[in-house]
Formats: sequence, C-alpha cells, structure tokens
Amino acid sequence: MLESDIHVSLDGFTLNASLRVGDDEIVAVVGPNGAGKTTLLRALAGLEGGAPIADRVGYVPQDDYLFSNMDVLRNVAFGSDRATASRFIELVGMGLYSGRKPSELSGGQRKRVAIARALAREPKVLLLDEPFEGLDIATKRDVRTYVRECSGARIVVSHHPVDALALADRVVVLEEGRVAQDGTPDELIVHPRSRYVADLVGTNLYRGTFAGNVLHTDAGAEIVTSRAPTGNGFVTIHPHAVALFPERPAGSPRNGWAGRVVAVESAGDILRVRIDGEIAIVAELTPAATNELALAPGSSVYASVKATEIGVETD
Amino acid sequence: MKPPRIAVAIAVLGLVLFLVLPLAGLVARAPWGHLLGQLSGVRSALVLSLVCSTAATALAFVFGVPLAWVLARGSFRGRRLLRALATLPLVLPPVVGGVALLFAFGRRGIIGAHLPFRLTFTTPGAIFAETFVAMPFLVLTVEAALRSLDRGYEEVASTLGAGPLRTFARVTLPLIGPSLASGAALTWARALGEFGATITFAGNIAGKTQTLPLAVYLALETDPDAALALSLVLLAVSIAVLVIIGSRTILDARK
Repeated sequence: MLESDIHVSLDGFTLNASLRVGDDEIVAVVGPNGAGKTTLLRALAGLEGGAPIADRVGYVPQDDYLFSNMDVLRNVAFGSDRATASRFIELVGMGLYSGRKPSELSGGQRKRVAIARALAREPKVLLLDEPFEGLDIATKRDVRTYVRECSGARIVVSHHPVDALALADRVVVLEEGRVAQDGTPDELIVHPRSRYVADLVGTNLYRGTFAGNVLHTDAGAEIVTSRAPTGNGFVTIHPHAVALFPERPAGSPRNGWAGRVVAVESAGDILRVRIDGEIAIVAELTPAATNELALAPGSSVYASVKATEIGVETD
Repeated sequence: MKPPRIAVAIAVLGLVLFLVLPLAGLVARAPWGHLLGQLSGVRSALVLSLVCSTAATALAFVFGVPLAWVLARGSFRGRRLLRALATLPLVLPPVVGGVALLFAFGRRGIIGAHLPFRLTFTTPGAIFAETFVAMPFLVLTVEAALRSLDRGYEEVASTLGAGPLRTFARVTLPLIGPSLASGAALTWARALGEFGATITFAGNIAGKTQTLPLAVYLALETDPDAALALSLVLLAVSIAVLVIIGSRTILDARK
C-alpha cells in the first residue's frame, strides 16, 4: 500500500488530497475540468516540488512527449536498458517500429511508445493522464489491456467515466481540489455523494469474466448478454434500459435481480432510482412509472434488462 | 493596410543609401583580376581570424550555454539584472570593452597582475576579446529557445530517472539544436568581425593578433586593393551566415 498526501498551491488553486493505492490496484481519478486531476498526478510523479509517491514511477502525460531526436528504441531505453526496452516495445506491438523516429508515427503509435517507455521503468506506480484521449477504438482497447495486465499500482486520470469505470478497482472523485468520494465503482453507483458522481455513474458498468453468454461480474452477479464472447471484459447497461417490477417477472428469460431501493432522485424530467442487492444498478424511469410502483427508499424491487439492451466489450 | 507610397519611397531610399550603394562600391572597385593574389598576401590574417573566431565560439559555448540555462530556468533574486549584465557587451562600445579587459586581465590589471602568463597582445588575448563581445549572441539565442521549450520533455525525462545534467545534455540540447546552431553562427560571425575590443586588448600584431578586420583597416592606408579583397571575403562570410540562419528559420517555421 502506497500513500501520498498532496498539498499544492498554484495561482490561487489549492489541491489538498490524500491518496492511497494498493500495490497491485488500479485507481481511477475522475472529476470535472479544473478539479486538479492533472495536478494531482503531476504531484504523484514528483513534478510539483514534492517527492514522487514511489522511488520508481512511470509517468505518461496526456501529450506523449516522445524525444523527437531519438528513435523508438532509444526513447523507451531512456529510463531502462535496451533489452528491457525491446521487450516492452514488443509488448505494445511496436516491434517493427524500433528504428523509427516519433515524427514518423501516428498518434496511436506514439501513445503506445509513451506507455512502453513508462512501463520499461518497471515502476511501482504507473501514472497515466487521460490515456484514452484521442485514440481509436482498437488502440483504446489495447491500452486498457496494457494497463490492466501490467503489475504494480496504477493510477489513471480520466474525465471519461466509462473509460475510468471499465478499468478501475477503485474510483477517486476529485472536486475543487479535494477528494469528494473514494470507493469501488459499485459503491459509487449506489451511494453517489455528489451530483457530479451521480451523473458520472449514469451508466451502469460491470467488469467480469464471460462464460458463454453470461458475464460473471467481479462482485458476484450474473448478467445474460446477447453475445457470447470469451475472457475478461465488461458490459454497459443504460439506466433507460432497466425495467423495475414489484415481483420477480414470472417465466422471463431476461435478466432479473432482486434488490432494494436506496434512493430516488430527480434528474431533469425523469427519476433516477438507485438499487442495491444482487446487483448495484441505476434505473431511470418516468415519474408516472415510479408512482405506479410506489418506489421509496427501502422498497424491494426486481430490476430487469433485456439481453439485447446490454453493451458488451471484451479486453 | 498597405504602407503608403511615401513610406515605400523612404524605405527604398534607406536601402539604397545604407546597403546597396556601399556594397556596390565594394563590388565595383574590387580587384577582381588579381583577387586571389591579394588574398594570398593576407593569408595569415585570414587563417588567424578563422582560428580566433572558432575558438571564441567554442569558449562562448562552454560558458554561454550554462549561463543561458541559469538565466532561463534559475529562480533567484536579481535574475533580470543578471540578464541585463550578460547582454551588456551587445550595447557597450567594443573599445570600452577592450579597455575594461585591459584593466582586468592586462599586465597591471586586477587579475592580470597575478597571472603566470600574459593575455594581452597574444592570440589567446584576441580570442578572449572576441568571446567577450560575441558571447551575448549565443546566450540570448539559447536562453530564448530554452524559455519557449515545453517543459514537459524535461519533466518526463526526470520521471524516467535522468538527473538534470543528463536531461539537459540528452533531451534539452538536442531539442533546441536549431537555436544552438543559429546562435553559434551569429556568435562566430560577430567574433570574425570584431575590431574594437581586439585591437584595444590584444593589439595589432601580424600573425598573432592581427585578424581580418584589423588587416583591412591597416591595408586601407597602404594597399587599398588588399583591403577591398579582404572586405569582400568578410561580406561573403556574412551573407553565408545569414543564409544558414535564414534556412534554419524557414525550416522551423514550416514545422
């Protein structure tokens, strides 16, 4: 477990945050623009005057900052040695480009090299600032895989909730230079502690392992999907797609989970119902439907989703 | 808005008076027929000039790059004052510079009196005087480049475990390579043309301290054709330096 207390004052902005990360944990730092996410990451990297969170960190800023005078191999070997560098260049699929200069690479390729350069440090903590920004879908998926599969602690800053939730074991929400909430994705779904968090987790997202057309989530629930991929991945369920019933729908082949209403809150002209139980899930209903079901905190409900309404992503 | 005709007319007149006519005079009266012969007579001055200005550029590099680094990135009181001082030789009359050097490093100077060797009236003295005058060109160019360089590169290098010196040598300097080159070219050209400080501090000794500009001045009294030939050489060098810097700038602008 690594811990860091960050205090940074910059041009009238103050960042006061305590951050801890398990030795093999992935933490996503999310928050609105100007919340101090990048400053927090820079401080953890030792770039804001203080010491870095660990003696060996791998820092991947949002811009790749590849050294333009060096080829790919020498960029990656800058913080390690050539053998280690070659290994990580292969890992990110850039083996054929070892001798190329950064100016000869595409944006996605440059990001791969920047990640390889940080990984080649074999860091205790890998720090990534908006690693998915501006990447195509294939590169995005690969980057997610590199981050999930490398060892050590990983801290990812993102303003894109799906990217963050798809990756993280734990989410730290930063607002106005302070930690507004710190919890697992499920905890955030059920108990958002601020409007921002509530909106942030507007999409239900579950990580797990696919077996046939069932995703076994890390939290122990089962979700039936319309596709049958294999391996690890995640599914997304839009709150619109969640139907609520007072009793388990009889004979239905669809997903159905028993739970209790934790909160009912208004979000514009719809109501957002947070449910915890066999699964932590958010549903969005019209006020009429909510009245019909007489939903209030504490009432038991069954949440149901058609398999065809579930988005499937594999690693 | 286009400049009015009157402004264009004045600009053209200025160009003709202060650039075209002097250069035309030089080219028109040049002893084209026996140019090479004239130049062979002053070969020692030519060689000495090349040696001195190259050595001065190297010295300016050794001291100027760290100075530019400190000016661009240091955080200490009096940095602005230090920058003003570092650029003083740009505006100081070179003769005054020569006098100052004389009373610092001359035989009766505050430092020179204790030196085991003599700097005045020697080739190293000429190099010293040229460095004094030309170094600000390097310092200013490199400092500006350092200040406009995105700090992200150096920051990433530091997170990769590189100390400040390794980062500077392997990352920063290559990134500002074009500015280093044009700074060096400017410095070299300024050193090549140096007259006032050199003649005051190092004297005008043929083969030892008599560089091209000094030789031109001397030859004008005795052998105007030689002076013309030498002037042409200096003109050609100046244009070459401008072309080098210009192409660099154009390449940078196209990136």
